[in-house]
Amino acid sequence: MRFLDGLVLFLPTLGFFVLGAVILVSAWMVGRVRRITHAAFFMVLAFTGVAGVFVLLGADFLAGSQVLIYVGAIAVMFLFAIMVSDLKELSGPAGASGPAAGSGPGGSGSRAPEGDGEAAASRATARAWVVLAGLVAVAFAGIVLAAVAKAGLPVVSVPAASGEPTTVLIGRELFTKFLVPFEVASVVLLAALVGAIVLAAREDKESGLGEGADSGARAAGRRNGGAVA
Amino acid sequence: MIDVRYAVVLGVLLFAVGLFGALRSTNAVRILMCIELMLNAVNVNFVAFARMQPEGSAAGQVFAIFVMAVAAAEAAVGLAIILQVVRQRGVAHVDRINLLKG
Repeated sequence: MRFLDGLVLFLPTLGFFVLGAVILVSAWMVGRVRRITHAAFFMVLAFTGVAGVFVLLGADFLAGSQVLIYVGAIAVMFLFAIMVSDLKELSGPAGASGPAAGSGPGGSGSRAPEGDGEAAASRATARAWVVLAGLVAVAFAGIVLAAVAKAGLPVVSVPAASGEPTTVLIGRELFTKFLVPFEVASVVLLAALVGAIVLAAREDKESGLGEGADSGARAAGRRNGGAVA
Repeated sequence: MIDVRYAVVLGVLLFAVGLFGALRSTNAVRILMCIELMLNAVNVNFVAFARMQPEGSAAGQVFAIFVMAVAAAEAAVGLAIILQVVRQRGVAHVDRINLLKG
């Protein structure tokens, strides 16, 4: 019986560590995996793991909105953007670094090869950038972790399954103390979405936003021209 | 029972991994994804710090909601810009997007 009690107490911690490992590995894979579509799916996995961490921390409303906004909206938007622009470079091995980066930067696959020396030089540059990025990230993590260790954060344990919904609390704070930021955030969202639509819409002078088959073909032709130029 | 400091450490590590990915990759869409991961790490920290507050304060969680709103706006505008660049110039490689003139 006592063993069972200990297990029940230990289970959330175990779940937290498993979720943390999943999050970190999939976040790593977002920067690592070659195909950008796979990177988007790893991003979905990381977002879902963060939602699980929110549940373990007792933030139920945030966990729900994490799934709705990040997994349901942002990740789908990324996937749409990747699939709408049928560009080899977007879905192909560009962006992956390390040994795969030799063909990535400069697009040496599509251009005429300028010789091995230049390719090796660009590969060395890419490797140097990766090392520099790793140094920056490790330095950041070290400094912040040292600060966290020094700050003497209070030891607070979240009771597993406290069962108290946070929605009432969040709603009360959001509509009293944070009312003005809330309204500003809604205006920001409106402006951003209108701006995104204006930016992403195809400009066809004759037919406006709607486009028939011929204007679509013309846009495709222009796109190909742009790719060649 | 979960020690909330673990969540802070997880947030730091996730931010560092996202930073590394954003710095090393050259694909604009991938950089945007890594920035989303970094914003998510900030959210983890906000929720953890909200737990350290005295009971009855949800300010940290409200801030996390604001971060989510800004992240959604940023992703929408960023993806629209990247789509337009890809449409006009045919590249998503940030080292080759080097003209101010469209």
